[in-house]
Amino acid sequence: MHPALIGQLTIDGLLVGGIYALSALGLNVIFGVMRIVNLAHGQFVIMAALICAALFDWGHVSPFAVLPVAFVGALIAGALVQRAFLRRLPEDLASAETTSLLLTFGVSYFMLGLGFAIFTGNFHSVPYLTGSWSIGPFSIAQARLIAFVTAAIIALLLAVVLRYTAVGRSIRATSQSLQGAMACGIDVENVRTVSFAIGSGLAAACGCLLSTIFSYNPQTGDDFTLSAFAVIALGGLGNYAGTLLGAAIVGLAISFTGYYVSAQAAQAAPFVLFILILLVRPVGLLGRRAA
Amino acid sequence: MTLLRVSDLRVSYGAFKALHGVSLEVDEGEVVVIVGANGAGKTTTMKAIAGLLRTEHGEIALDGQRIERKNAREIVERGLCLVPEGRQLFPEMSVRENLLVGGQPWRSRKRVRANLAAMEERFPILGQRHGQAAGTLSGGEQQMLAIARGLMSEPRLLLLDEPSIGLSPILTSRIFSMVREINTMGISVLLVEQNVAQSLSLASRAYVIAEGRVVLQGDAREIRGHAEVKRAYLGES
Repeated sequence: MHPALIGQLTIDGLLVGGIYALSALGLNVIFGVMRIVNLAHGQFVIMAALICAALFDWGHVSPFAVLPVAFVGALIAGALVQRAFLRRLPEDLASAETTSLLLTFGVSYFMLGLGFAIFTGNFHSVPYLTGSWSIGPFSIAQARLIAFVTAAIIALLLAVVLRYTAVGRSIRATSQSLQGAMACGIDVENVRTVSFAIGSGLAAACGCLLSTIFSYNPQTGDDFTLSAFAVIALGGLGNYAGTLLGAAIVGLAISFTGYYVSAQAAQAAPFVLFILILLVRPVGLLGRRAA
Repeated sequence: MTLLRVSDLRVSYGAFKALHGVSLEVDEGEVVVIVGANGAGKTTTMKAIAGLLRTEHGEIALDGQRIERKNAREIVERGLCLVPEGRQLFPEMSVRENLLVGGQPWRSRKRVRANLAAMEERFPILGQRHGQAAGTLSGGEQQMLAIARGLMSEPRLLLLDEPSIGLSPILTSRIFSMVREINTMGISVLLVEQNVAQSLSLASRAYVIAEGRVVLQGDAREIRGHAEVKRAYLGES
């Protein structure tokens, strides 16, 4: 193996992994606070990507310009989904888990149908920033690098919000002890709405960034839901640092498998990792076992 | 003057009826203790009063204002705060972050900072360990943090659920003197405690709960001398 080739594949993998991290961070915020598995997450990713493709076809609108609007739109849509459906989940945790799965599955299929109705089943992509930069022996695709940097900035902003703001502290507190948060007077229902909104917003931001890298149709949403699961299962549910590690591993797996095996195998790589980690270390690499 | 009045409180977990009509009162400036065996309904009573559990029937009034349909946030805002059983700290957040969460995000930043400084002065160990993750503190320090976090909301009535559980006798005594100190600050206390002898010596009045009902109530000293209490909770014949 040539060192330059390894370096190139590593760069490619980390760049894609960084963008996956954004979607997975969103899923993790939702899971941490609400303890629900959001099966509609990937649909938020793909809807944003499809809107980017449509706007690019229509007037060459940059996906990076669409991103803030898509983020805010998804924030609102996420808040509405939480208020309209998820707020009504049963209080008993076991029933809530089952109902939330069915509910988010329903939302996912509604969005899938909507996607087919508006964007058809054709594959779309955004041919934007198609060039590449050469740094030493490495070639870095412009779209990937800019998408990665944007994802890193958004992830950093999320970290700042979670760490230094009252809303962020309320989100972290609720995810660490629901009873403790309630005893402190945190309005957990609002925290749940905010968390679901942020998670959906991050998914949409990820969709805008990925729109320039992959080709997709409404059905691809499920792949993004599953790859986000693979990332957080690898890193550890509810663990934000673990999510970044998981995303890097998934990105590298896709990159190396794509080169050494095949593009089809690369698509399956995150799910193979997902199954392996569930078998070997179900709490994830940085997750902690329950006391 | 009555600060808290609970009347005919009933709470169920599904088909299981945990409380069958509990009534109790806490006066302004008073320490009241609830005594009972495991599973008697003490923690359920505390959670229902603090808005952590939905009540099925009955009234809860704080300062004459009904609160049984209010959510936990509104109840804390009105000056009632629960320090829950098992502390329920935020283990991965720092000591200071735990205190800040207790300081209610809707208050002015200046006031929260002032309360934080007051807590770190009152509990110097929390000030020294302000950057440490709460989950890494010792049991006694964690309980101290849980109480300080509760005090950050400036309560008029503090509900303490089993504050000495799992602590050594020395630490238990420290927690009890802390409760006494809190009471001298003008804060009323409703206490659930497994350490019956110590809590009865601290409280002015007591309620004994069994199978979700108040079976005995009155002056703490009288309850301390009651034959059944001596036998069941104090190990005396």
